[in-house]
Amino acid sequence: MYEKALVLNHNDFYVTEWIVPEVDSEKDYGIIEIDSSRNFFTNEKLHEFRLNRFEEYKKMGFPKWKRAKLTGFEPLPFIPKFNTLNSENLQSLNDLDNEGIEILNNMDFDGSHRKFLLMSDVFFNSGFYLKTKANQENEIYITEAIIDNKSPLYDLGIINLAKNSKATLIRFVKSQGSSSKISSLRGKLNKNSELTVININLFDNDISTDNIFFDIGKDAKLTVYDINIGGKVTAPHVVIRMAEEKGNVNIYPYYLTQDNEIIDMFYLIRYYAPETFGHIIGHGVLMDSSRVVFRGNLDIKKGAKEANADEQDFNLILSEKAKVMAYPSLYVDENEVNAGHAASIGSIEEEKLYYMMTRGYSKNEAKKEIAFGIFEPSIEFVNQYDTKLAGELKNVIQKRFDKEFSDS
Amino acid sequence: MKDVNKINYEDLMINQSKFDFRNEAKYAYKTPPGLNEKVIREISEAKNEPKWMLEHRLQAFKIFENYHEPHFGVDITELDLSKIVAYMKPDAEKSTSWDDVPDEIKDTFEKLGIPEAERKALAGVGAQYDSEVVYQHIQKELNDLGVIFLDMETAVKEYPDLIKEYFMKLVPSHNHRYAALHGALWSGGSFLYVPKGVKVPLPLQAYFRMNNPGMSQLEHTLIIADEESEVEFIEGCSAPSYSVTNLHAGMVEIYVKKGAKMKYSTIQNWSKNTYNLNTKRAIVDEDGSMEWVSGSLGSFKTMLYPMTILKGRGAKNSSVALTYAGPNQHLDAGSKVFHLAPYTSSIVNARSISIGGGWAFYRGWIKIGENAKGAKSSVECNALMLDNKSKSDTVPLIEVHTDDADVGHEAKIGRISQDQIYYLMSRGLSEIDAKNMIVRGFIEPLVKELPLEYALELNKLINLEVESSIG
Repeated sequence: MYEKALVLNHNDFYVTEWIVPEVDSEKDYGIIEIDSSRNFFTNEKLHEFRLNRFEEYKKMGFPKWKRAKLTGFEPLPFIPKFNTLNSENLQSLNDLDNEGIEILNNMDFDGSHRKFLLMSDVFFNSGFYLKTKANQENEIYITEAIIDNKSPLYDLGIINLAKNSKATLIRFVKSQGSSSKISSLRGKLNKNSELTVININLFDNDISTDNIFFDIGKDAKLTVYDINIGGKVTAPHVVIRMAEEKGNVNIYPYYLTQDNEIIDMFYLIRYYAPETFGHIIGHGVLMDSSRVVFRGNLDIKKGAKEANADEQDFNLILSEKAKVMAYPSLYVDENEVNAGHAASIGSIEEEKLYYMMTRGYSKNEAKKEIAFGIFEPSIEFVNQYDTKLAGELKNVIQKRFDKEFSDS
Repeated sequence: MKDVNKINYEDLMINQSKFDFRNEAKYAYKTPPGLNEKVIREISEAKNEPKWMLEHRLQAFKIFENYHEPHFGVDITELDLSKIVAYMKPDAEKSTSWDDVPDEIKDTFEKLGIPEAERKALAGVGAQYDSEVVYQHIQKELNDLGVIFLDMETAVKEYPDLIKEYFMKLVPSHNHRYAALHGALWSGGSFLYVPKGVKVPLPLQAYFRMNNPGMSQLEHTLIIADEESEVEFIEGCSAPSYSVTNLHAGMVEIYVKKGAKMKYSTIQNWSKNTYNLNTKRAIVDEDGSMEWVSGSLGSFKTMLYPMTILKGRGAKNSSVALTYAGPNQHLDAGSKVFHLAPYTSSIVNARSISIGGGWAFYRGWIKIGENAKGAKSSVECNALMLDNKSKSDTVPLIEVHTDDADVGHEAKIGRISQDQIYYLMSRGLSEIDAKNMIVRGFIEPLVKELPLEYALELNKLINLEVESSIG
């Protein structure tokens, strides 16, 4: 199964698609890097997968993204290593069973750019296999990583949720400089299973992309909190396939940019089966000369009768130099559906500000409270599962707003 | 029990046959199919144009030759420009009296109701048959007010300074490949100048007709609404069906000066073999107001994104559009508004109906520039899918470059649901009337913006005779 990011055809008609230009990198990884980490991989099928993917990888360059102002990519020197990100209850990728290998081989997609997806598939230096047992009660899995200019993160994750099981996964990454996180995550949710994924990316001057693909089984439920704070270029790419009845998906992107940071997001829910439910509700705040691109895509295929598709995206701009580009896209082949989207871009309402000022806040304090309030639901959500990580998230957001709204 | 939710889509389709007649008009001049410099020189010579216009054409052609195809929109790989006839001049001199127009051409326009419209006291009518304008009339009173309403060729000769100042300045040849093609091959169209403070009491009208297979029509409409003036312009387009491809690559440039009000309405019903690659753009000065009303019903493939540039403080735009994509139609259309000055505002109300396998694709763009403090924009897209064979997509771009703007976008995709029909039937309506009412309600925002006779025509075009689908 290959889930393309955009499927733009109907009967004999096509829409012309933009072909992303590519730039070769002199520092690109090759067979030497694969060989240098060969000993870490005792799972032969996994190694075979790497080699297969490398055949495609070596033929392409890194993307040139106009809107995200990215002209190719120069990877940091490769350090051969492999770990499972400090997690106690996750399995190593070397423990991948046939089902896991099948997920890896079968669930293919474009990613933010194919080169980045293949990069994490081939050169991963960390990864995990999350597999639940049938009827398992909710268990919390956490991965944590610190990245810096000597240790980029290439992460490969596989999730295999057995029927009627529940799991919560928190992926936490914090940067301490100029680094990168390139990840791919594939997950299969079997019948009536339930997964919550929380991505917390606290970036600095990094170039990063999370490439995520979930296949939703009958009556299965997925909740994603995708929290991206900063980054030189941050490009999350999330694709959801709903090919069985009554799948239920909620995606909540949260994003915050400052200085010259750029976040370019892509979310896609593709509805194939009847009575599937998929909503995307995004919230973001922009400061300084930062830039946000929000691409939310709802694609309802013929046969997805009574699908419920909705997307909302709320943006608050706090600087006259910041830029937002929102593409709330809706593709519909089936007429018996409930589908809609909405997007809003604006500043802090004067009424709200004055109300708070009458309550004793200074103007800057009031603005800070309002802007911070946008992120509170995400912090509270994380807090249910892990107070330490929620605290770190809160601190980073507060620090950014302190800088923006200092009264000095 | 019969399934009231099941609609026979064929009964809802537009009756194209009204436009599907051909007339055997004689041609004074026709270029061979294909494009080259020689053809361009021949067109210019046949029109007896000034040298500067020939130079403009040749320069545009150079740009065209080196320009890539658009990186978005409908697939046009099958559009073979080497088979398109660039220029076809009917054997008729321009006339200001309907009686002087040759019978064959007159017959065509009679069938389309052009003089009839004028009889109903529209202020002026320009009618273009293939490449040239054959009939142009303007009421004497308007002439006396200084309103200039001419075919473009005459305007080029009579008002060279005005034309040089404005022609293809808003959409220059290097804007895109089909703008360059237009710059090289344009023929016909209207020039309208409304002097300061003049309020034209009735709509002016132009009608474009492609009558020949393999024909291209690249008319140019240039409108200048000077300060504090008011005017409404209506254009209609049609062509009979041929198996050979037609190309329409027209251009509309509108300058709305300080405090002026302009309303531009279009009913496009090109035949189902036409590639409609049209460019329409308006620029609005301080406190000016631009209104686009567009009904796109015909063509095989369309790419059309009427654009307004709100350049002056407090300038306004309103776009109301209906796209109707029937069988074997792919219509890629949408509104573009650029807010480049403070306190500018825009409203976009885009609706589409897809039926019988048609594909309606909305592609809009709202841009709020960094100087557009206090700008407001609201976009609403609604799509009605009348069956399960069709496709309806909405891909808007909302781009904001300031912290002081209020921008909202909403879209909904719907169908005629059983609940709606049952509700209306419980109120005493027949099933047919219920369905009719829902579709009429859906297109109402467009219909109410049109002059009565066009509104009636549109209602007829979107044939709501659903009776036979129920029997």
